[in-house]
Amino acid sequence: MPAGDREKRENHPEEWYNRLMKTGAARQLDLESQNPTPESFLEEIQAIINSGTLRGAREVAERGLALYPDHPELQRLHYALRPFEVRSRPDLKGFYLDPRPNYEWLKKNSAAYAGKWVALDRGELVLASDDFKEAYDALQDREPGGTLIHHILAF
Amino acid sequence: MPSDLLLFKPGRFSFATGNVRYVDATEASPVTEARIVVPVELKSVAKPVLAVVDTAAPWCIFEPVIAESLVRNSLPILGQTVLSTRIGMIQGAIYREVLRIPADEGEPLDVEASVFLSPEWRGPNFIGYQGLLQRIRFAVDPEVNLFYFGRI
Repeated sequence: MPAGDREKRENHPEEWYNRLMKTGAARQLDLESQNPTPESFLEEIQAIINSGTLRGAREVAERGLALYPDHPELQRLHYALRPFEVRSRPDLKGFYLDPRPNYEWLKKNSAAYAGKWVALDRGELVLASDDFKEAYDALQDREPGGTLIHHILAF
Repeated sequence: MPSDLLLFKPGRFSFATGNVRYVDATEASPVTEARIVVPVELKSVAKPVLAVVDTAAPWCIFEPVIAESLVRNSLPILGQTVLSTRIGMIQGAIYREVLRIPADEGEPLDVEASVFLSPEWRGPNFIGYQGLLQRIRFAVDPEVNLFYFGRI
């Protein structure tokens, strides 16, 4: 079975959401009975995404492409909304070091670095800066498995 | 079924193929509640950054300076999107990005995630439910601060 096929097909915990989904479906049926333009489908996709989900958005693009197969934006969206892949990385097994020393550093020292980006390597501060890029660059020569970049928010 | 077999049904993937230690909080200010803050890697920021696991957040969200690095290398799925937050509506865009969850034990996991990026965002990094968590299996052991993950 291809990796993409292993994605979640059913979403039982969200069944309580059906009422909203049904409203959306009704809107889609209306759309198709009103001689929709490509923009109608694009608006529908926009509305779905604005509601905080991607569910159904690709199907709308698909239905739009059935009527307007050459429309570039519908084609782009249909591709951009393709199933999302998840891959295990056995090649990176053992690559990462125990992050606890970096966490300990944050626990003990965050108060003194509020508002800063800190670049840490195995529990030691490499650089603290207002600038993310400086913190990032400071770790370039370090083994990535033991490093951490964190922005300490100033409340 | 014996409880030790519950997560390992025949013919299915193991529930988890990796785990990573998380931290409860990272900030200096007193926190009233513990969070689950895990390290993640992004392709254009090849060093781990910390992100809060939030099943109530629809998308993954990253701080603007990290967002800047991300948008340089990718196109948005949709150019203009709004996100309703506790501090009001925020304008941004949804991107498709590969997030890697590093593994202390087992295998890291690369997940294609939906990421909301906005220059207006002022909070920490988040891993959201629709944008990532619903595409994987995950579990938390709060006794030892371990976040378990695996493919569906």
